Amino acid sequence: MQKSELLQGTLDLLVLKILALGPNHGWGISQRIRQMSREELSASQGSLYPALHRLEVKGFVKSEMTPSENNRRARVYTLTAAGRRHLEAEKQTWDQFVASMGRVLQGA
Amino acid sequence: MIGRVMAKVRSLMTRGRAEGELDEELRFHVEMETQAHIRAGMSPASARRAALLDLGGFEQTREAVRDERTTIFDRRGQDLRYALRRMRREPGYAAAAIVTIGLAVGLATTVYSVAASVLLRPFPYGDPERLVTVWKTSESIDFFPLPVPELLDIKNRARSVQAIGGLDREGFTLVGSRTTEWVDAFRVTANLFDVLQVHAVKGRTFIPEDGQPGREHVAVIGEALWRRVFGSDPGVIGRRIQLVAEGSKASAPETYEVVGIVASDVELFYPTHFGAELYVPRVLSASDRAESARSMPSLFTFARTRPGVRLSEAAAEIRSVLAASAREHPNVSLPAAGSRVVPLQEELVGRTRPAFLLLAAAAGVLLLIGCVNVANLLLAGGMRRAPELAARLALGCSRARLLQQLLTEHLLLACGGGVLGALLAFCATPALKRVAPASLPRVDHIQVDAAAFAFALATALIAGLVFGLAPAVMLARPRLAAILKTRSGTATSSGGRLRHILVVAETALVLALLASASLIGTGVWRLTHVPIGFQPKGVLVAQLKLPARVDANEHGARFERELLARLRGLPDLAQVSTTSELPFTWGVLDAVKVPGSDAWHRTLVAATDCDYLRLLEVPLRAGRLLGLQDAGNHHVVVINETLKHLLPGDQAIGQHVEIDKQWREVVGVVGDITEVGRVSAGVIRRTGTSRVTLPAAYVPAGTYDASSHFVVVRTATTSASADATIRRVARAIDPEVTLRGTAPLEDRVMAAGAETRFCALLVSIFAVVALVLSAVGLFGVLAHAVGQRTREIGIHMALGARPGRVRWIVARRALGLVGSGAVIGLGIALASGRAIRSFLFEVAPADPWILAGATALLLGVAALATWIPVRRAARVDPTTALKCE
Repeated sequence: MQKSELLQGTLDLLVLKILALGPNHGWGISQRIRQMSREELSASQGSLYPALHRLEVKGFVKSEMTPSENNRRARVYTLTAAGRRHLEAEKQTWDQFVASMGRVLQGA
Repeated sequence: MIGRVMAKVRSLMTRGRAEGELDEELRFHVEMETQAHIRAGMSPASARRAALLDLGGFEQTREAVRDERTTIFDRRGQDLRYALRRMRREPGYAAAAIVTIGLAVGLATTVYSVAASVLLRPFPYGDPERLVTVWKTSESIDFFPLPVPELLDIKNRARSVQAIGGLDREGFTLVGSRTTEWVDAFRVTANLFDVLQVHAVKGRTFIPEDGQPGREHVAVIGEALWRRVFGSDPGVIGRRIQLVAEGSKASAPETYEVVGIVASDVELFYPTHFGAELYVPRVLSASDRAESARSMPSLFTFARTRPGVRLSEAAAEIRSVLAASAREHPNVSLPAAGSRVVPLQEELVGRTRPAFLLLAAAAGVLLLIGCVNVANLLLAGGMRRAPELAARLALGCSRARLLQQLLTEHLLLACGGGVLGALLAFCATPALKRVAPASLPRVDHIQVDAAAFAFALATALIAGLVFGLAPAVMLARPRLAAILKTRSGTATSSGGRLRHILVVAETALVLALLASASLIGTGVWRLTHVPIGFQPKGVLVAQLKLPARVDANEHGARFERELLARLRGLPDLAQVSTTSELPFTWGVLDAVKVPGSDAWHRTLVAATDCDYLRLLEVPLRAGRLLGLQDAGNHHVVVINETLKHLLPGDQAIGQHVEIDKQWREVVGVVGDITEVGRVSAGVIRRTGTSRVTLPAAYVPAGTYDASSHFVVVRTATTSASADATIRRVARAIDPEVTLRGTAPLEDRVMAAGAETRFCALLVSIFAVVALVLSAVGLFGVLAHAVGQRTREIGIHMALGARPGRVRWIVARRALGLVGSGAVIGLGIALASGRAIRSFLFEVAPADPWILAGATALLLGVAALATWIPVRRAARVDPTTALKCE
């Protein structure tokens, strides 16, 4: 459980970051993650949907079933104002974390 | 924040739709991914397989998303459904828990409520904790009223006293156009209602002007009198009523104006527990204030202390003021008088406090037994489930989640028990009210005590939760593997040991309760079977209230003779007679001298009509009873055996005794009448539980100054019809004669010890329920032990143990548990015997036979509870037992 928590947080952050660029559906988000992380995070596709629904329950994203290409309906996710604020705050925390990790590792 | 809540609410409301849409969303993903794979050159079949693989499985993903969407409400719902399923699967377990909680909570609440309503009477006064009563004392009597000048001394000098007032007893004949009624009344100082802060229900209470001479012809009536005599007429305020005071020699009634009505529970305290239905002002006249009045005890006194003053300080100041006035007026003060200042609450509740404490303690013990039982049951349930819980923990269920679920389950059980308990309390309390003796004070005020119910429920709830959650908490992770391996283990775990301790504790408590109930019950049986020496069945008594002008010796006797002559001719009254003293009735003793001694003997002297002893069926031992020829003869007396033993020599007939300065010849000896009550300061009081057999002398009516007059009839008709008949006949002779309280003599006999009997009833109910609960508890533990040891028993039997031997293995455990419990219980019973001594009528607190009987009863019930598990153990089939692993 503790092991996945860091991963979960990271994934949430990634999803919010992608949605900050514009509304997207689940598959689109998974493709963007794959591109952005140069295929390294592709294995986490299975946890994408739980993450999306979790973010929706928390109110950071909202979703809507919309018609999409080849006549199917797709669920399209949009970042909410709360989500945008959360992303900002989390990014700062992340930066601080990275910076302090860097200092620690340099010292070692 | 609001957005989040909205999202949650939305997700809750749209869950059904969301399920379908989730499938659609995932299908869309898989399709897009498959097409992407196909575009990259895969075959359609392997492309779809890769897409599903990447997703980590369709069903799994759907499950994971659902988990994210599950809210706390869903989990509660799941827990609740799970708990209900478990209750359906193990109905006996659930029922036992619910019934135990229900019984314990319900009964503890009921009895506490009844005890509190009857014994802890709420005070109808404002700020009762600031009220004290003030008494003068002598060596033998500690309830002399206060002389008026001393009351005024306190008023003027004691700075800690805010207000002080007093009352005196009075009786009135209320003369109406159609009826004459006797009314018990108080003369109260005009400020007394204000001192006590008692307010009128209608109209007003007294104002200072009512205490001025010439302005005192106003009356406040009690609600009961208002209903009984005035038919609840709202127009009674301002009406003029005609009253003749008991002691007044004036033949004409005086006119009083009704100014207000007060609630009937304004039971102003009087040392002999007389109540009043009517109040008139007590004017403090010039003679009341005179120096000579300092030697006249006149008012029962109530003082209200200033706010913020401690009662002990106020009491000390009042005592020092009284001591100072006694020093200043040495010649006119009461000789050798001390004083006593008692908080009013203590005065009112002090007498009933032991009974209340007894019942509250019994309620507490029952509740404790119930909790122990529930704890036991839940521990057993928890141990049975230990493997299941361990498996779930091992499969990754979080401990918090498991605790949450157990919490739900036990809350459900506790709520079921609570509902049952509430039902029981609300049904049983009115039922007890019906069986409660009418002589019990404030029976009509009995109601369920909400605070007691809340307390009992909370206790049961806490016990249920603590012991229900214990198994989950005890499942520490390192031991998981062990628990999973043992399955239906053979060894006694720490949980088992705890349960054994609980059974021992329960047995001990039950025996203590049972022993106390048996002791009190035996006492009550003896109390109701005291040979009283007369036959009260079918006898009605009524007090005759004669106007002062007829009440003198000779006149009173003449009136009685006339009344009896007219009553004797009536068909529905078999026997009629009169007397000045009745058994089981408040009375004053006289001093009697016998020949050859200067000692005075406290003796009950009754001036009776010649048929009195015959009517009561008091047996004649020697000589003769009084006869018609003795009427008005000052020189004859019939004595009882107790008085006879005080006379010198064997032959009583023909000897003389001195009564009221008159030597009288003994013409007959009759059997003793024994009462239950107590004698203090020369006065017989009904409240008390001692056997009282006094020397008694019966003299012809009219030859002794009688303080009261009673009509005694043996009849088959009801009190009401006899009352009407006697009233009618008495009025025909003198319109101002009234009757007070016509009732069966048996009621007076039963009233003695009524409170003790009622306490005994309640304690017995407790003891029986406790016994049943303990049997259930013992049965549960043994049945569980047999179930747990099936394998062990199977091995025993496979190795050739006989059923008898197997039975012994199980019974031995029961014997050990119950035996140690019984020993501890007997210890508690012996220790608490001292505490219940005041409830024991002629029973030693450590009566070996009663304690042995209670122990035997407990052991018998325990044996019954043991029998089924023991039999089940003997029937274990070794093959099945060994295979079932």
